[in-house]
Amino acid sequence: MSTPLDDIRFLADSANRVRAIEALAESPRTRPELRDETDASAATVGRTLSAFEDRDWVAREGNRYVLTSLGTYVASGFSDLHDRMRTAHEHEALFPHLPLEEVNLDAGGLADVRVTVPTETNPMAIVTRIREIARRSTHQRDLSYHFSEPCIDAHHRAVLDGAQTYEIVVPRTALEAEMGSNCAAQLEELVSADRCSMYLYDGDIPYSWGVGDGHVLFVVKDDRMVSAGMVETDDPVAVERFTETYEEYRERSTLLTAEGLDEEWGHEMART
Amino acid sequence: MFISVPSVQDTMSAPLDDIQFLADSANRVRAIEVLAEEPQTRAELRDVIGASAATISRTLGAFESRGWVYRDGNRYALTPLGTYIAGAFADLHDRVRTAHDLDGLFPWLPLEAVGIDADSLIGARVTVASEENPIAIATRIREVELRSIRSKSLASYFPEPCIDSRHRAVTGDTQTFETVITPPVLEAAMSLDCATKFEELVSAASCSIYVYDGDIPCAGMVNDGTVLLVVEDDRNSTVGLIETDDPVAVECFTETFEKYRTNATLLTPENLAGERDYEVART
Repeated sequence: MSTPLDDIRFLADSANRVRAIEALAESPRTRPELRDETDASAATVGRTLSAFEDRDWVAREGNRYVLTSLGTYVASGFSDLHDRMRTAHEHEALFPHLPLEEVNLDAGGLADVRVTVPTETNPMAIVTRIREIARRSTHQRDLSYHFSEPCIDAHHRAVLDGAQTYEIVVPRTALEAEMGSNCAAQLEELVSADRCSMYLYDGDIPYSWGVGDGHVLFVVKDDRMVSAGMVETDDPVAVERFTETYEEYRERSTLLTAEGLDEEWGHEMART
Repeated sequence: MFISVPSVQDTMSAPLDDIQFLADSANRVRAIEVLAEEPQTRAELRDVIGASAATISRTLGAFESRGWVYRDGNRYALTPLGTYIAGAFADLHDRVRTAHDLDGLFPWLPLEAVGIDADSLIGARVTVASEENPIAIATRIREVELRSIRSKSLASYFPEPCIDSRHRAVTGDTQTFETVITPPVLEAAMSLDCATKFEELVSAASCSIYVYDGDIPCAGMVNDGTVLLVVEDDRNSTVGLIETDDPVAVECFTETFEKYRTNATLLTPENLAGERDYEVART
């Protein structure tokens, strides 16, 4: 008598069987079609189909083989697991650094996310992607340990164009760093803009996150605080949790006004 | 131990290898399940799994080398990667376990009739007749009918034991009961010894019986957040019961119930009297 684990092993033991059941899940297939798709011999395909029939996963309709409702049920579960295992392998480097409380890994989790990683040919991949999102959001809230130049630039344009409402919570120290830079003027305009609210947090923010338009993005840092990758997800649970964390920090922060900016950093800006 | 050689070198190998690595050993699966609940010491793992110290060591070593587990003092815990993998594997395992529980019932599941997906049945409670318990199905139905507080049922049949159970629960003030039946079911109920009990159900304030002039595709009910489906084979023999509290299944069944109810006529003492006279006139 086979156990549930036997069934899983039966599939996992053979890449051909997996390909066969995945092909059948797409649509009924004839033997020749399965031979093509799996690159296996006629004998192997024959054995596989017999084994599937024994388990009531497949029924024969003329010269086509069709997944039964049981077969569809098992196949879809196996495909899910297979996809998630592939995801795990693809993004192995990111896993140790994922914010587990906020990102729900249990139910499907990472299989539905988009991951951007810096590569040799595209070392700026993360920044490029962040800019892209910053330009296109209609409502964005960022919680970050810094407010980098590309971001300031992108949000400045979007907010002043009237296309975006923007909020950001950053450490006070982070803003200080930017006020002496090239984008000081843009920062000042953002602070003064109706559709932008900047909050200063007196302490460390160990994240680089954004929530907006039902979309979450977070930069994953490795042990050396280097960006290992950026993960994006539309999972509503993640959106809720990130929003909660954002609001916690915002409540403990101070809204920066144009006057406040001037008072604190007027002398800084006068220098540039 | 068999080592399978991949016939084609491709990106399929490594992920599939991991699935195979787990599926190959019930001990490994149990170990990762238990670790997913909370961190474990070696001793605890040995107790729960019932394997030797050497096996536990090998398993933990293999998990560690895959980055699934890390050591925290004398406890072992799942890493984020391990948590992810454990969750994914558990989902498939639950699904296939349910398929085994459902056994021969799968072809007969009234999924389309009720608008439910097989996915909603993962972890469902299955009742079938067995040698040790040949009346398991009838027993379970009676138990559910007596104990439910709020019950809505689609009844393609309403035999005497069911009328009796519902009567007891409704007149005992422990149940609010709504059911949709068909004309043949009504006729049958009125011609049985328990016709009086049936009439009392019709008159009861906390009971509503509707007659749908057509076919009801399956027998099922939703009781206090649990859907119960009667599974019949192609000869209309009841072969099993499935119960699930999956919220999607509950919603789908309730929608289906409402669809039939709104197209049915409420049975009242008045129009029942008409039916009774008709019956009397016939005999």
